[in-house]
Amino acid sequence: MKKINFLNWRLILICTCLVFSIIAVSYKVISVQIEDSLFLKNEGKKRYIKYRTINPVRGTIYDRNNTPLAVSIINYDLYALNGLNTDRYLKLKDAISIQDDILIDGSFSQKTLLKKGLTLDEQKTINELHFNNIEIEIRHSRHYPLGDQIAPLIGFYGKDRAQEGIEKSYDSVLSGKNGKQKYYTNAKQKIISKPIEVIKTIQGQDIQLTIDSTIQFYAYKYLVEAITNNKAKAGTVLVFDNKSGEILAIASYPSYNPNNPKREIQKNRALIEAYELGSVLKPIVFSKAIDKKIFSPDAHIEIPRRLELGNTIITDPKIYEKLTPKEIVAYSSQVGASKIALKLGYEELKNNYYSFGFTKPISINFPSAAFGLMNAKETVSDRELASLGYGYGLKVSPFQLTAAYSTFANNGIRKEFKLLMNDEVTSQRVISESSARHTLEALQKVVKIGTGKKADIVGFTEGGKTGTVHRTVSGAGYADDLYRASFVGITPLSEDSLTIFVSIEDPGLNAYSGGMIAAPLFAEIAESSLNYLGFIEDE
Amino acid sequence: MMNKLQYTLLSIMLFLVCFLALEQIKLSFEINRLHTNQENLHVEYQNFKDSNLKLITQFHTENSPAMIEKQAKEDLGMVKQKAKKIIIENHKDEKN
Repeated sequence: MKKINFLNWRLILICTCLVFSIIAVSYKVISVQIEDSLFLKNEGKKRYIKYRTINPVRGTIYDRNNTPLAVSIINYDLYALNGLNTDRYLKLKDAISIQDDILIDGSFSQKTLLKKGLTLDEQKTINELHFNNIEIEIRHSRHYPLGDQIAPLIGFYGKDRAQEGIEKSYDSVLSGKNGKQKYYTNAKQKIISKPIEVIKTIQGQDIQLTIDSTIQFYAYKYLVEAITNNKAKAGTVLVFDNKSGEILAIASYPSYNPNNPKREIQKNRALIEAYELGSVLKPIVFSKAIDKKIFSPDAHIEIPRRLELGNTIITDPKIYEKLTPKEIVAYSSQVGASKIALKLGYEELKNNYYSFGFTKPISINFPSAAFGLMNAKETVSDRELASLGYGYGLKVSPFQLTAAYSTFANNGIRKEFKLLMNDEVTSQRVISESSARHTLEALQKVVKIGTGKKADIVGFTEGGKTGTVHRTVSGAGYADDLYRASFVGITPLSEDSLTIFVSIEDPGLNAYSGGMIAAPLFAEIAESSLNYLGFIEDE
Repeated sequence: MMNKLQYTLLSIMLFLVCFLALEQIKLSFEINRLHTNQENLHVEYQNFKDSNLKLITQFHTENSPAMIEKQAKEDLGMVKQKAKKIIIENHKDEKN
């Protein structure tokens, strides 16, 4: 019998190999279970658990009468997924009449768009076919029914983000929050479970503006007509409801069609531009002078032919000799306004402008809204003080000026106008009730006997002020042939009234003054708006 | 050995188990059907909501003053007539 040699080297080698193999396998088992466990689990999950982001529907922007100004429309698009064969594609094509011919070799090799904007019936037909390799994807598109009428105010939503206007300033409210769905797939990446909601989708909230789309239409329509007729370049209109403190219309031209993907963005001239408005600021100075009892509203003041202030001579186009402060406003006398400003003094004038809200943030949330600018100094020369009195040396936005004028209609109380229906309107007394009344009388004189005769509205009382300024050109100062014609008016002169601001930039014809161009535009907008709102004639 | 009563009881229990199992299957089918139905109704509700918004938008667009004015001008020809230029001829010249 052959004796077994336990110390056979081959046996030792095999045993050693076996032991090392067991150690190696055990180590690997331990490392897989403990060290790499988390990583491997995650890798595994990645292969069979899939996540899908669910986009919320963006909130709708309504006007005060629930007319949609910006709506998100849900569109359903049909996609062929990898593996959809020709037979099924042809069946689909017949069932829902796919127009475009798609060349396929046996089956689809990648996700391909088959049809955009499926109807409800088409979706039902597709579901009844029970095909696996197709997907109906939801796509949201933003639509602006009023188009260019209100585009500079509403702005637009494009390229997955809000880019302008109200869309941008209230984006956090309108956009909502993305949700997440989880679903399981098999080794062939075929979905084998129903989607499970992991993160709830928060839909965007609707917002309601105080804008009235009909008044907005009148404002924009008449503005465009006036600009076309006067061969002007740009313009803006604001309509405020004095009693409720609500903004009814903000029109700006040039505008753009927000529904057009190739739109050229235009700024909102009523909100993001501040400029020298000239004589329309005279009633603001007048009201403070009356409030401080520096002048009696009906007492005559001497108006010299020339007022020499240092190197500057201030003159009027007509010789008046004597005017009351109300007549100074009515005839828009530069000499008279300078005398009022000089008597009022720099500190009072400056504080008065501040209290009327100039150079302060406006009450509505709008991207890049202008604050205006006043070159505040310790002391100013008489010339500078006089020019501040008739509206030069101070940049004001149309919004600020309209809100300031509404103070006269609200018996001296300045309101922070609101654009959102849910917002609160705060108010503050700026001038006395009697001063506001006298200012309204002065404004009425402007239309009756002064520079704004063309602002007269048949059947309604009104008051307002014209303004004509030389426009500044960057780097070149005041341009001789470029003008900005403005008119701010209040109508009717009763407890319930509207303040309307109109401004036309660079009129191309011989007529360029506020009284010739802006005042008739005010009358047209005011007449249509008052009739639409059901105001009863008071004149 | 089991007696007759035990057989009867066992049969009843078996019958009950089978019956309940069948009921469970039936109910699970019913729940599944109702769940699918609910999902379909939800989809339909969302579609109706969307259609409603589209119709409201269309209604306001069609009835907007801009559209009314456009139709009045284009379809009904309600365009404000421009002032006519009247040329007064000199009759004296004709006589001469």
